Amino acid sequence: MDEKLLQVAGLKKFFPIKKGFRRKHVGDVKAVDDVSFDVYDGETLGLVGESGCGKTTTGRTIMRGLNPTGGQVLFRINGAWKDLASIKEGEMRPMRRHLQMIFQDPYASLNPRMTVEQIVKEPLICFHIGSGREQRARVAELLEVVGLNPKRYMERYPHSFSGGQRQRIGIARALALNPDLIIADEPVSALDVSIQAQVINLLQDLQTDFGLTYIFVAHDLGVVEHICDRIAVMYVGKLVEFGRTEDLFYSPKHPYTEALLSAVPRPDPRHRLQSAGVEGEVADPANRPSGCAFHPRCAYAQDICKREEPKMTTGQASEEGRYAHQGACHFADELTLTGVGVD
Amino acid sequence: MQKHDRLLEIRNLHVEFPLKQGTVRALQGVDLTFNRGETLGLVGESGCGKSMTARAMLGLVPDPGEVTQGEILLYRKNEDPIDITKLHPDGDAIRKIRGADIAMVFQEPMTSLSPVHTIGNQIMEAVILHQRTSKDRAAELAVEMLEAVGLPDAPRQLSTYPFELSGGMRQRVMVAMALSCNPKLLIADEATTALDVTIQAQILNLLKGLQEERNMSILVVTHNLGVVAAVTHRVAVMYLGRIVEEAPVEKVFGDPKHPYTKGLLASVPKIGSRIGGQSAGRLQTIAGDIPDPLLEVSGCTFNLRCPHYMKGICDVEVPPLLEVSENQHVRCYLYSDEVSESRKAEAAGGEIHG
Repeated sequence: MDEKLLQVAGLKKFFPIKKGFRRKHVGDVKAVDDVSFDVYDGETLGLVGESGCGKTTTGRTIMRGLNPTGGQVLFRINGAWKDLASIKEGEMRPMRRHLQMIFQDPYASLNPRMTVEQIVKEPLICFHIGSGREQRARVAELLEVVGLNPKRYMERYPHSFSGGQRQRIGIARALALNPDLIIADEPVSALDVSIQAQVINLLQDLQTDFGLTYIFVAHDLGVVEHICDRIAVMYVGKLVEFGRTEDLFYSPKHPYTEALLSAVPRPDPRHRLQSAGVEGEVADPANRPSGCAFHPRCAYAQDICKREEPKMTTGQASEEGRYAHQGACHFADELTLTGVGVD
Repeated sequence: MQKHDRLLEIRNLHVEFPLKQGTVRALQGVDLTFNRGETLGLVGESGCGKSMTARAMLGLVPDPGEVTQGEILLYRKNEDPIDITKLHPDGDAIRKIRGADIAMVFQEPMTSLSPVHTIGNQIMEAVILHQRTSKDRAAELAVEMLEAVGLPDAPRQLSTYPFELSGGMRQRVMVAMALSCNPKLLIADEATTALDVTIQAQILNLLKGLQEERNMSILVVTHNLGVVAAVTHRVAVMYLGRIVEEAPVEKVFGDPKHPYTKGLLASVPKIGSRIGGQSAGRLQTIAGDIPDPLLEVSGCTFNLRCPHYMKGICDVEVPPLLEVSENQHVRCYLYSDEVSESRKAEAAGGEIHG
């Protein structure tokens, strides 16, 4: 739990905007712009933010589902560091054994023409692991692990499963190769609350049982608080705050985090929404506001916020610097922001 | 509640879908009362019938579904109540109700606005249809509405198309359109589900403000318990076609009675659960899955997943709606006088299992 598994440094992913007949390059959508964070063995790191903030793109770029525009993604495999951002596609393939993904939509992420057995077995076939019989036994074991009865379900097709069961199948597939890191992209947001709780519990049990590390991409702050050890908040392609869950939720350092926390409607009528929420809309990543991207919506904005882009503070490096609570705000150390109140 | 306060009443509503594979009973006896100036929340998980109830109120039950029993009575001032279920879905009578008495805001603002008409035209269309005003007057009204929902630069927005607006702006336009004919009841069917939290908070605050200002009734249909707690006065919890609990919002969240309500509330991860640096532990869950809609469950529809299931009682007959405290109604045998205390005590021992 004390060693780093992944070091993301200065990660960038730009999508070019092309215009006109000659497809002239006129600008970039800076979906991920200079994002850095570390992930430690066995922890759950949350990536949160509103739509268009780049949280999903960050996850995909780490996996090399998308090729990064710049930056480093150092990943520890068998004790050696590999830069996933710069290796060739052919060299990437064997790396994928070690990092897997769970997707948001359990209806779109399973092939409707394959049986559950085929779906879960596919990674084993791709990496030539075991004989046919061994593979089948492994599939049965995996289904058991995620709480599906293998005898009953192995031969069935995805359409006969509910959303929660499908998500379990997706999880079994991600586990097939014994990965070190799982990037879970909104794994529970398509599920009903009673089913969502089951899947969250399953993910936590699997983490303890198999020593998994998660990057958990989500927008639901209640879920994130529940499952994550540390959280990175993103706004229009940049990290605005990073820290331990409790630090970030109870004493946020960035006004955007404060706004986000205050906007969540809580299942408690005693905490009714405050009428003074944050105004305006999420900025366009193709046309970022100058300085701090949040300044047009920020209640604390001053002149400097329009002119200069704030740097991430180094934070109070407690315990080997790992739990530093960082915020990218000019006034991170001066403002006293309200987090989630104590009842 | 006094009689004249009542705006709409749903009595024993049944909606069925005869399909090749069998009959889906989408609603199995829904009773609900809407009072003027009140916000009611209708919550439940997918397939519970919350959206179907809302659609039935506008005569919009999709094919091949039909209302097989029950009535939906709309009370207008100084008029006899109108039963919406008896009206022809394409007739003049129902079209006068839609928009003018009851208006609806849908979940997906991109698909419910016409992409080829300007915002202004879409709002004015409804106004001209219902209020028979001139075009100029309708345009003025449209600007007023857009201002009321907080759209900046309203006169200019009349000539914009939906694709030029963000999701939050589009949802504001939907609300403006729904408000344009001064409805007595506004139905918001998952109206904020597709929006980001900061935008969701803006729309919820907007609805709350409008309601207080216009003394309108609002029906909030959602699966999000946070949204319900934030804006409603009274809550009805649905499970598989029936209302299982109905009470003022403080009671539903503070002292829930039905095992399903309790389970639902316990399974939501709550913000603020890690105060003091503790790990949040495991979530409580409701065992099992929402059953297939074709499956006919005898007795209480929740009995398959209920931790307090009483064999021979819960699976025989549908429990009646019981008043357990003032204004709090629950459809559960645990609160029935007809069931012996020893049976209840035995069943109550069963904790919600994970």
